[in-house]
Amino acid sequence: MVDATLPAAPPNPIGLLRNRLERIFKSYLFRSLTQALFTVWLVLTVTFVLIRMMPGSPVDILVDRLVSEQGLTREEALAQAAAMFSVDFNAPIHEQYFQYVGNLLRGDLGVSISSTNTPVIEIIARFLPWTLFSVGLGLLISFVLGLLIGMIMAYWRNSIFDVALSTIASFLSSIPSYLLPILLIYLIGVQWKLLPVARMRGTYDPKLTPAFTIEFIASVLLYAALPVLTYVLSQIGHWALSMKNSTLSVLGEEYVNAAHARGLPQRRILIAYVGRNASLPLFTQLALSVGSVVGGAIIIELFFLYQGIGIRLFEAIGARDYPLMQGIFLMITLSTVLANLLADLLYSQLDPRVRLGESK
Amino acid sequence: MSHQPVLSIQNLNVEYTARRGKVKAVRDVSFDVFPGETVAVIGESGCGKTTLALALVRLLPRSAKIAGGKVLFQGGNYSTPIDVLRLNQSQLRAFRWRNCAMVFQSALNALNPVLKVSAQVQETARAHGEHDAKQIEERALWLFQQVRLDPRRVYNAYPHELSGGMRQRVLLALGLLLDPQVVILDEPTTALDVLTQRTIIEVLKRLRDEMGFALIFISHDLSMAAELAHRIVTMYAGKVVEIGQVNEVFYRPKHPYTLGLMRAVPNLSGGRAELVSIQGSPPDLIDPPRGCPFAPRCSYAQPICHEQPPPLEMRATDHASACHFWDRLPVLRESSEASSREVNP
Repeated sequence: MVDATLPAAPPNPIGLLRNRLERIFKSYLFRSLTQALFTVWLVLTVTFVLIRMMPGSPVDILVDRLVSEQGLTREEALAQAAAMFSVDFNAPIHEQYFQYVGNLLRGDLGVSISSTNTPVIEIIARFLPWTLFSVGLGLLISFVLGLLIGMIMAYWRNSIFDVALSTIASFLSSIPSYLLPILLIYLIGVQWKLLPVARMRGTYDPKLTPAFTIEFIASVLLYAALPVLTYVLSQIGHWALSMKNSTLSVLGEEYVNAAHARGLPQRRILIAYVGRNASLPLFTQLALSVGSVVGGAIIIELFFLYQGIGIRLFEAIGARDYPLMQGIFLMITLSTVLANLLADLLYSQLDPRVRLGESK
Repeated sequence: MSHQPVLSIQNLNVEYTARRGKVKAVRDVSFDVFPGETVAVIGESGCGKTTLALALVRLLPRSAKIAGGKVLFQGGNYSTPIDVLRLNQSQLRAFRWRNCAMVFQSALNALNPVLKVSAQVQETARAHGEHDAKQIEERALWLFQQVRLDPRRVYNAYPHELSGGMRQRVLLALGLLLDPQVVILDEPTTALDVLTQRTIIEVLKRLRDEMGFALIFISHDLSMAAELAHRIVTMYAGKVVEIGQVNEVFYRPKHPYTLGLMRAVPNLSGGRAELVSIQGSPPDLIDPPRGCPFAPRCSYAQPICHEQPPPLEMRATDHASACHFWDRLPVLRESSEASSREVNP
């Protein structure tokens, strides 16, 4: 009765807008994005403070260098150093911070101190792609191979194959990643002489110019071979063992049994039932490991003299090159956060159960 | 009912390999199932009923081995009996679901969580050579309607969007998709509430009568068995201890174990109220007792029971039991049907 006396609700534009906004705020993508932005800001701030807590400022280091290299007096060196820096590193830390964030929001990462006033963004653009390429390739290969090996181990569990691979996998995943380059250089370069390790410095043959030729691509792959192999070897054991455990638990699931009962072909069960469900939890781990592998690239690039962002970071820390360090840390954070975001979105595509906020 | 059984289980033995030795989970089980007939296999947990069901479609876990016997199937595309235990992998794959569908105990988890119901319907049909997607969809929608689901919504849903009872019915409909001759249901209603159980029983009854498939269902729910089954098979310690027409077995049990099972469930239709549980627990199946396996728990047991295993023999029309003292058991109710065709042994 009450309903009948009420006038029909007029279309309310404000309510409509609020509805739409509400849906956006509740959506999976929006939540992931805000979370990612918050993470970037947090890491940015923490590294900013931490870097400035390191003993010795860029000015000190430069003054020391000028004194020892050019024989200037301390006063002369100080004056010259101060002229070289556009940023005043003696300003209070919060002023520096706001200036930095302000510049950052305008897309300005600052200017590198140690490499003669090159913009940080230029250095990153030159060296980061190589690190992302080698790390990405290494992760991809180790992930795919690890998944396959893990599944095989689970299917033939307790066979000689499984026992042997499990042993190798736990060995590989437990040796520290800085021992692997030494081992590889020794075996591949010195003992077996498979690759000319001594000549392989940098990211491709210096005699070639970058172009889309087979020769250049082959050279890029050759020069990246050892770092990539290191990433693969240090990661693959972990992936294989995780996938084995995951597969074993999926094999015990009723839906796999039921799929057999339904007379589905073995291949279909392997891919759509076992493989897909077992690899789900590993995609989250993949995103998490991007950060740690990019971080670990420092040591590996140093060993192979692979000219990626890792070596630059190492040098930047030595020179207390605040803007460059800050820029590289920001990139590492961004790549981790982006990988996580990507994994989140991918995961929601792979597993319908996490598509929560979406309407049908 | 025709005289050719659609499924004939002959001296089936299944063993599990355990650290202590071989667990003889199914021992010398033999019975026939006729087209359109419903057989309920009852018994307490661990008596071998699920192992038996899995053995019929050869879905036993790796630790289990079929140690002997035959499972003869005749019907559908097989005009002469074939031994399911001797089919090769591709024949077996074709036999499963097309000839014999098995609906699992934990229906909650029997559908792939990452695929839509529609995809799972289609892939099942495709695996058996049906490629007309439109026709399959129509058949699935019709079956969903038969099991009282909202066909469109369910067809396009992911499993996690459906309730337990709905998933159970989806599975049942999926089981009937290829019009199998035999449907095996393992504890089809255990995880469900009473109202959903009722719906499923009603639906099963109607579909069975309309489509004419034989139904084997494994249950410890005696009231459901009484309502659905034509014949009852009681299993104990891996053996069939009693088999017969449903009224015969329930009104005039010829094995103390069946009698014990019935006294352990409350009777809704009134009558005696006291519930008597069966004392003790089932025997160790690695080293089964020499005599009757039930003797240690049986109130009718005599010295001979511990020495000689009683054979499974006919005690009345279509009613066999494995008990030395079957004639000492009380008659629970004189059903008019049973008394009219009573044959005194």
